[in-house]
Amino acid sequence: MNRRTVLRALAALPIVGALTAIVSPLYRVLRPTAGPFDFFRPPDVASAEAQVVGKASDLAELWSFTAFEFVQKNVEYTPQGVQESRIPGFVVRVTPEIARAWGYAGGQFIVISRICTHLGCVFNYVPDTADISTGYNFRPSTDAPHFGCPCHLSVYDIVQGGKVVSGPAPRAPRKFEFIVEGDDIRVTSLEAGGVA
Amino acid sequence: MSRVSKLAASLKPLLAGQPEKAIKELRDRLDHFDLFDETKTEQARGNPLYILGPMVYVFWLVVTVSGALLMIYYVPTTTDAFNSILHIQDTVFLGWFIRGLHKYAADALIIALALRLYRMYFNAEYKKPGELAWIVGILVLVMAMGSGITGYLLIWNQRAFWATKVVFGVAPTYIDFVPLLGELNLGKTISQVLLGGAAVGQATLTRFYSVHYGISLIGLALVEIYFYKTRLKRLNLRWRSLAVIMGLLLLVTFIFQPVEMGRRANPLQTPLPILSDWYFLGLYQQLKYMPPAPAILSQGAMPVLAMILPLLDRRRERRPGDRPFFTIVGVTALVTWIVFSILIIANVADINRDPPIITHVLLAALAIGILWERKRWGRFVPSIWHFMAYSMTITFLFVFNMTYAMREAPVMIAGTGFGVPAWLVWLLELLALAGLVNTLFFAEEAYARGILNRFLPGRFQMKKAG
Repeated sequence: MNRRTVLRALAALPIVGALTAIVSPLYRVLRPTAGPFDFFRPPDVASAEAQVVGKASDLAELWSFTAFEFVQKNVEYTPQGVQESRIPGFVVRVTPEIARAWGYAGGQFIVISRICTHLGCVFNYVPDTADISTGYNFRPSTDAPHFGCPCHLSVYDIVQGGKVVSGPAPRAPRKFEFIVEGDDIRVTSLEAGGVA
Repeated sequence: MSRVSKLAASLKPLLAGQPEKAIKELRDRLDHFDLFDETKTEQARGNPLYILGPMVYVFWLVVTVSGALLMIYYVPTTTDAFNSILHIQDTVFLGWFIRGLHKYAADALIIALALRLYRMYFNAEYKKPGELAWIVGILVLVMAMGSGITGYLLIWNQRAFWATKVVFGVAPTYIDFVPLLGELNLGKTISQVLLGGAAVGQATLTRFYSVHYGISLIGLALVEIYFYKTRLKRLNLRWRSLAVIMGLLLLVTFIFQPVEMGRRANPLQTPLPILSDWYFLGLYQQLKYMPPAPAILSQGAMPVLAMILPLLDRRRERRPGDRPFFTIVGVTALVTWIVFSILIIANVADINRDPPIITHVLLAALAIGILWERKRWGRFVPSIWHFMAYSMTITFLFVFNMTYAMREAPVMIAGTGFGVPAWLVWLLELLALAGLVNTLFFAEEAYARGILNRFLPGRFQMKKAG
């Protein structure tokens, strides 16, 4: 290394510094919720108030279910700052073992988002295994109901905690946090990271 | 000297601190730079394929001007966007015509860009000193597609809304499924920056409006600077050809009216199937067939692989028949894209049945390429680069094929309700695959040694050497 190389390297420093200084403000123009040099900030999270999505008394039988829409507020970079979106979901009556397989502490219900983890379609509750065989291209080994997405035929096994047993979905459906108050099934929040 | 060491040698001046040599090489490429075939005046005289470059420029101008006119009446809000398009289409004087011109000129722009790239591919115009022109050509296509998908959303109809959700809301989040990379939340962040929030909404529309017009305008400004600096003639095109092209565009605009509107976007109702603009359909079909992480990585790798093509194909030959392997790869890519697009329009996608078939067809095509290469040059694998390209493709195909077979689900025999265990299907496939490739190689070998002569009519017989 000679003197010329050292001088050249020193001359390059301000250029690199200037570039670094430009990137952060540019990023903040595109993403106003980020702070200075805050490149690896976690994604903005949606907020929501607790909502009653079903009655426990309507879901007395095993495998009975009801559909609902959960309203949440997503961060949006507009003057309003938020956008309201409706997340479709299912409440399904299950056994405590199945609820534990889904990661709940136990109880009688699972409450999940109907948004398919593949490309964001809205999937169905399919109680009849014959329908899964003919309609979703998969032959279940049990008689239990499954979730099936009509877009690209992903099948989720409810008994195994939403495991993808067929089709291109990359992971199990996202869950809602909920509490049962008397007869009310009250959803408090949605697992983060999903598509709104 | 092997190809690798040659490559290393060409990088040497840069590494050895002799940037002057590297700059000289770069200047050589810049001297042969070509944006709209404006330097190819010789070829343009005899070959109609060389009007593709000027066509790109003409359509670009038409799209920009008609777009500026549309901006007068367009309202970029989620509530009014669809209504304003209806207004343009039905009430505004000549609105239907301007919108038609904008849409069909944009389609024509994409077609001309793609055909020009295929021409450059099959004529090997990407070889020295045309590398830079080739790379910029691909970048322009990617940007045009970006302008396409951002412009598509501005209508705010069902198809555009859901296409945006898939391409910008869901697809980037697949990056988070890649091990280690997932910790950075990169995919979700990219998605939120692109959408201007967590979901497709008003911020998305505004952002896309900006990008849609920005790409065209900034691009045109750069083009003008280029022509100002080089003093080249912008349109390497005769007036008669220009008149024919514009006439055809007007004819298409008049015949195919009204331009498709679709239905108003509804975030609560997924359309079946989710589709996008026509040039994205092939990619959509691939997204259906492959598991998320490899799908998104391979689609991201496509333009990159295309751009490093001058590195992969380093021989001097330019005629398609003299570089059979790359000719076959190009034909296969084109055919795959067309077939995938047709399949998704027909809504045919059986994720258990199709990937193995596709794998076998693609492998057979590659095998033909290698056999042809041997026929032409008397060698099996002409260079390490061919070998690399071949093995990369095969690895890619195996992922394509295997990930579905590896699932625990039995593969259903269509219409019977019976399933075959996945491992058995996978084993059979492996055997079939090996069998297919070996049979082809064996047949070629037998032909080359003259063993097949007794079964073949005279003019097909292999002549004895010497």
